[in-house]
This record gives sequence, C-alpha cells and structure tokens, in this order.
Amino acid sequence: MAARVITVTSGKGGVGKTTATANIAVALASLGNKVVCIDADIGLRNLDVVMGLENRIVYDLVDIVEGRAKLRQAMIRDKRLKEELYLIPAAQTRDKTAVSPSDMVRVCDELRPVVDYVVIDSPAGIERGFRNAIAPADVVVIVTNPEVSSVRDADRIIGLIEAEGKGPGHLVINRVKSEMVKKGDMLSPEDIIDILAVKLIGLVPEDETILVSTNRGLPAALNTDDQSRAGVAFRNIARRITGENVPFMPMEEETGWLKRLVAKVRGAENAADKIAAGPKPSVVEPPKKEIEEERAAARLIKPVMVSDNADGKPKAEEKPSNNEPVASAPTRSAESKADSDDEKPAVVKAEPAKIEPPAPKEDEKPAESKEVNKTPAASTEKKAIL
Amino acid sequence: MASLIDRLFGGREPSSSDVAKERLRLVLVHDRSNLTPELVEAMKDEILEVIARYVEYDREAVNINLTSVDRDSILTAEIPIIPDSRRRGVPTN
Repeated sequence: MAARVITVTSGKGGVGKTTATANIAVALASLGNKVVCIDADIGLRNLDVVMGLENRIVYDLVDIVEGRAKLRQAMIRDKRLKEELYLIPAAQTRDKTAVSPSDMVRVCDELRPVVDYVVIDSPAGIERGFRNAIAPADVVVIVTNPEVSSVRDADRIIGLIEAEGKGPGHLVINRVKSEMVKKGDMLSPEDIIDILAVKLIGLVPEDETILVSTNRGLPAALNTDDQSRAGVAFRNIARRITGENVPFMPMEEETGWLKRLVAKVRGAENAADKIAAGPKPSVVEPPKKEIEEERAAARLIKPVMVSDNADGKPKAEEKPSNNEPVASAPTRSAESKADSDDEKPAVVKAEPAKIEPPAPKEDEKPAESKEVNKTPAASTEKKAIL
Repeated sequence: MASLIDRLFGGREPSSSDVAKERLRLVLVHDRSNLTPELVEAMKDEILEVIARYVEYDREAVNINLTSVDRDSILTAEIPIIPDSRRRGVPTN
C-alpha cells in the first residue's frame, strides 16, 4: 500500500473544514479503505469531538513527534465502522510550534506503507499550522463557503499551495443554500469556480443534519442509509477522491408548485423513456442504497451546476485520466455545455426518444451504471476532463 | 437566474450575488498580483509618460487594466495613438 495524503484546508475558519475532514475520512473508510485522520490543529483540537472519539484519547500527535508514544499507540480506532478508521488527535495544551512540517512528513511517511489514505485537518490561517498540514499532502482539498470572505481566503490558499508545488487544489463548496442562489442572493457554484479557476471536487448543500450529527459525534457520512444530503455529498467527494467519476448533484431545492410540476414532468418523461429506450442494455445495477441516496438528493435539488456523466460508477477502462489522482471536475468551458446537455434534461428535457441508454437522469433507476457511460454523455465528460 | 430576468426586463439593479462576484474579481486581481490600486495607478502614469515620449496618444481613450485570466494576472493596455495626419500643431522632427 502506498497511502495518499489528503489535506483539508481553507484559510478562513468556520467554513466546515473539520466537518469535511471527518466526513471524507468516514466515507473513504466505508468504501473499504484503511484511513487515518490527523488533527493538525494543535492547541484547538476538534476533530475528536466531531468524530465522537473524544473520550478515548490517551496520546496525541505531539506525543508521537516528541517520542513519548509510538504511532500505533496514538491511533484511536473508530469501532463503529467495520472498516479501519483511525484518528490521531491534536495536542490540546501545546501550540502549533510543537510540530514542524518535517515532523508531519515523517509521521505520514510512517503511515504510507500501512494505510490507504491519510486525511489531515488543517487549522485555519496560513501560518505554521497550515504549513504543517500541507507539507506531507499529495492532494489539497480547499473548503469554501459561498460568501466573499471565504472565497477570497480560498484564493489565497490556492495561490500558496501552487507556490508550494502542491497544486492544483481541489475545491469543496460547502453550505450552499440553493434557494438563495436561485434568488441571486448567494454566489452560485459556477460563480465561485469561475472566480477561483480551480477544480471542483464537491458541492455540499447547507444541511441541518450536519449539526445534529455533530451533536451526536456521528459524522453524517457514517450512516449510509440516512437522508442527509450533505452526507451524500461528502460520500460523493470521497468517491471522487478514489478516482470515480461521480456527477455533481444539482443544488437547487424544488419547492411548492415547481416541485410538483417537475415531479409530473419527470414522471411522464420516465414513462416515455422506458418505452423509447426499449429493452435496456444489460446494465449492472448499482447497489440499491446508492440509488436511494442519489434519488433522495435529486428530489431535493435541481440543476444549477455542472454535471459530467449520468452515473457516477467507476469505469477504469474508459477514464482518460486514469493516473490522475483525483477525478477532475469539468473545466469551466465544458461545464456549461455539460450543464445543458446532461443534467438539465432531468427536468427540462425535451428531446425524447434517443435510442441509447436513457438520458442521464436521477430518477432513472437501474440504468444508471456502467453502460450509460458509453453514451454521448460520457464523451462530453471526457472532453470536460481533458 | 433572477439576475438574468432582471437583465432581460431592463436594467434593474444587479443581484447581491452579482455584486459579490464583481467585488471579488476586483479584489482578487489585486491580491494575486500583490499590487494595490494605488500602485496600479502609479504604474499607469509611468507607462503613459514613457509612451508620450514617443507618440501622441488619445488621453480620453486610454484603457489600462489589470485583469485575471484563470489564475494569471494580466495587464492590458489599450492606448490609441493619434495618427500623424490628424495631429495639429505638433512639431515633427
């Protein structure tokens, strides 16, 4: 095994770094990976409470660095998962200078041969703690919110990680309120990608279930049966990190008459598609759970964003960027195209009977799988990635 | 979407997200190049000073801007030069 080290950072505090770290780590683990998270926020540790492991801390990162504990001793296993997920907590009584960037590189190098992913929670700011967190990073995930100050800070971070040779960064836009975006009162994901000119790896809707799950110390991504839209979004991020091409869920909430109208249109469309498509190509049915999640998300949201292909299942043989560590979000130019070609049809689709597998659609159940990728949608996506 | 409709139905004020986007663009251009607006102004003046040594240009139509394309800062200058034939009372060498 050669682990990949993923650092989650943001510049600005309070944008959801720790929540993102916990959820991405949990989601990566539940995909069957051996994962270690490291809280690099020395003096202000929080990853432990968010993950619900605060009562089991004996040793911390500084103990490892200063030789009082072996790496293994400081790794707290999350026993709620059958897969292996560990936390190395930060020290609470020390400050950032207790650890150096080379210490972090050393700790991660020790972990690399024995795990699949190391996920590091960076402190806010651009000083020592941030330097520590990105020093060992193979992939840097930048979390931002759709508001001016965090986007500005994200831009600074993107510049810094590029200067450190750790770029390009991968952007997570957290706490998107689709209703506000729709009214023009919140920066849209497109706006932000446009401004920052960086790859998008996740869109997370504002979701109260995050607070509830943090209250309980159960990351939202832990429960794969729940209806947490944010949990679904974090699981999608984890899948993208593993190299899967997962379409971006559209973010807009459908409410009231619009929702009913869309539901009607979709119902009619689905029926038409089924007839038009004739016998389905032999498709591999994705796990039922997955479909339910995607559907749940799709019910609540409608396209604002970007989408690549219809399904989000991996297809190693087709992926153009196989050796690229992280699935790229569509580039900006391709995005608008993808938007109108692929995702929108779910709601507004007018051209009915295309022969190939039914057009990408959240509501279209088992069709969403490997075969669908051989459709034009897949080629659009390829272009996007290239 | 709201902003699009506004635009279609005649110049109502831009949405707050449009304003945010424009403000961000502007501030990031300066952040990325590490140039304050004052420095950009000073640089413009000096550039024009140099240009004036060689040609006569249309002061009204000068357009010098710092912009961003992707993540790169680009300084563009559009400085219309007044053709020889249109010059009045300018001594030629």
